[in-house]
Amino acid sequence: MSRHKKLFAVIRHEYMTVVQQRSFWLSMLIIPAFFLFSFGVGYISSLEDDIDTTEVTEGLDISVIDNSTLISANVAQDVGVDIADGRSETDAQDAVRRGELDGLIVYPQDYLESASYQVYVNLDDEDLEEDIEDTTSSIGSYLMVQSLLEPVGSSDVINTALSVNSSQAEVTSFEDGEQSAGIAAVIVPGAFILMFYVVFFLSVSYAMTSVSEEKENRAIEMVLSYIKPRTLITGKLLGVTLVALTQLVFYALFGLVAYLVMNNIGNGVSLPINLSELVFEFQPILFGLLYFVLGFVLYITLMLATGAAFPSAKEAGGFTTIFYLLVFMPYIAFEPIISMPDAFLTQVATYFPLTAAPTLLLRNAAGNISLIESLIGVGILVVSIVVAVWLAGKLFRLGNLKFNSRVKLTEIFRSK
Amino acid sequence: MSNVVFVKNFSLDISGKSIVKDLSFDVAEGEVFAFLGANGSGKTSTIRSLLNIYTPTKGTLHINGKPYTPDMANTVGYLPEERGLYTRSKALDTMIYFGELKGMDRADAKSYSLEYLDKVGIADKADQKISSLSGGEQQKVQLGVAVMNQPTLLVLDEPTKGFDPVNRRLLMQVVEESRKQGTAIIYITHLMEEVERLADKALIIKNGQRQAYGSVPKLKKQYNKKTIEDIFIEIYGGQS
Repeated sequence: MSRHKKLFAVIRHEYMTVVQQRSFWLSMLIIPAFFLFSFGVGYISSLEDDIDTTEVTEGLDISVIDNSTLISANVAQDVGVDIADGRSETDAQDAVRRGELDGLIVYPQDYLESASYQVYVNLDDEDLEEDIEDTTSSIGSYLMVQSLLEPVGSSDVINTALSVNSSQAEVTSFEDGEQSAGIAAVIVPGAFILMFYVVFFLSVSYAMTSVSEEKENRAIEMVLSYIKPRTLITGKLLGVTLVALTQLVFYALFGLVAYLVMNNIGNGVSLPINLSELVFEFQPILFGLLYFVLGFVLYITLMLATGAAFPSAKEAGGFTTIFYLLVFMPYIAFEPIISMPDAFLTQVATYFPLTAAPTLLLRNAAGNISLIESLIGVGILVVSIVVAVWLAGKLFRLGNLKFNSRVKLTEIFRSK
Repeated sequence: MSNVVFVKNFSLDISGKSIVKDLSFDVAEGEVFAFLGANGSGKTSTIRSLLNIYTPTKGTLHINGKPYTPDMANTVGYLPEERGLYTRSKALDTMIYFGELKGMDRADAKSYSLEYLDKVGIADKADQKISSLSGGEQQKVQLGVAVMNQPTLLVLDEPTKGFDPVNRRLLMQVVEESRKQGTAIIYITHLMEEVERLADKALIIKNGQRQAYGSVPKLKKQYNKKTIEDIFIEIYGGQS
């Protein structure tokens, strides 16, 4: 019982020490501030953008079925899309499914009431896959605005044209001849990537700082005379985990508020995706969660070990740069990792313990990882955690009372 | 008087090097035990082994009749030579945290801490961060942490090192009060006047081995010296 009380005391101490710092909240506000800045710039530029559509549509084969009879043939020609006269919607959809067309835009007869239109895209072409959904949707909006403004008709028509930005493109994607969820399928497993990078860059370093500062302050010896090292390590780990959870809850609340605000701004602002289209598949969510949790535990343990091995936070911080570079590497190389899952670089990044978590998260979101690869990835992370815990225990025992020198590599293997 | 500390045939090797060899001593309740030796002679390593921070290679080290575990933390107060506090925490929070680590209830730790801070004249600094306190005020907090919960064993490793005269006097008072309450005190120091003033018994070690051990009067008689300092100098051959 007393041991649990002590563990709870350590957790509370670790947690409160971090969250009582002003710098903790300031560092957390950087991400929303950056997001708001990017959103603001994007929103303002979207109001001013004059799309060079001929450049956008170059190399794309996009067809339009205009049941609304609002689209001008001249505008369509200028934009570089083809109005499919006499072709049925089903035939055109099949053409997209087969890859004969890159995209299809279908305006309904009641467009002026519904302010929505259908978009069908083919994702088979890897070079186009990344933007085809957004591009085709944007062309759909642009085409309608330009067509409505062309005759400079009644005030009703102009108002309708100006409100087009708030209309919704209902996107349907095809991949390998089958209907695909497209970007909607990536959002949920992709959220784990975001969560991982947020807690990695904002939280895990607190574990290292906590151990280093205890050594620098010379508080460690008093602490170790009252509690077991295992209790101290566990308390630190759980304390930093609570810090990470606080950050995630903060960002979730921020996201919720941002969503509500965007939903209520009205004219001109809409989410890039309809939330009802999100795909919740069990396997990607399960593995996303596993990679996120295991990756977090692995890095937090390595940070604790590093803090114990070096005499000061400065020296330990220098060493942890290696971890940051390795975790950032899959982010930089995300295009080849997503598009070339069998490439040597992707395979190395997938199975090398220090790059495994972010790489597995990326591939899980992209859906280019098999069940076997996923299970091997989980196995590698679990084994890595076991080794990291062993290493942290050794370094803690060897290094926690070394106030002036770091633990040498040979000492780790020589000591019992 | 029963023994609070019992050490028998204790040896410690670290990385194949002998640090302490076949050391035996005991400390009774209400006794001030001066643990003396040159730098690097093995004093701090012995204390760390007694408090289970280091694992002894051989021998018996008991506190209150059994090997020390952190579950017995409520019976021990330790002021290590390398001591410090959490600079980013408040003085009161720091004392409460250490009280909890020693096994006290949070409420008890808080009431003790407030009472102690008031007693040593820094109650108004309770909600200030340790880093904003003066060196002397930080020493008061350190001492308060060591003696909180009325331990049966108080281990003071060079306690007056860096202490200002005010805190040195405070420490002496604490030692005297603790002794009266029956606390056994292990007192490591290089200041022989403190030994003469406080110690009932002394142990001098050299290279991890016992050189002289017994009550202060007995040692003086045995070595035919007027002071412990003279005995120390004789053992170390004029060099430490």
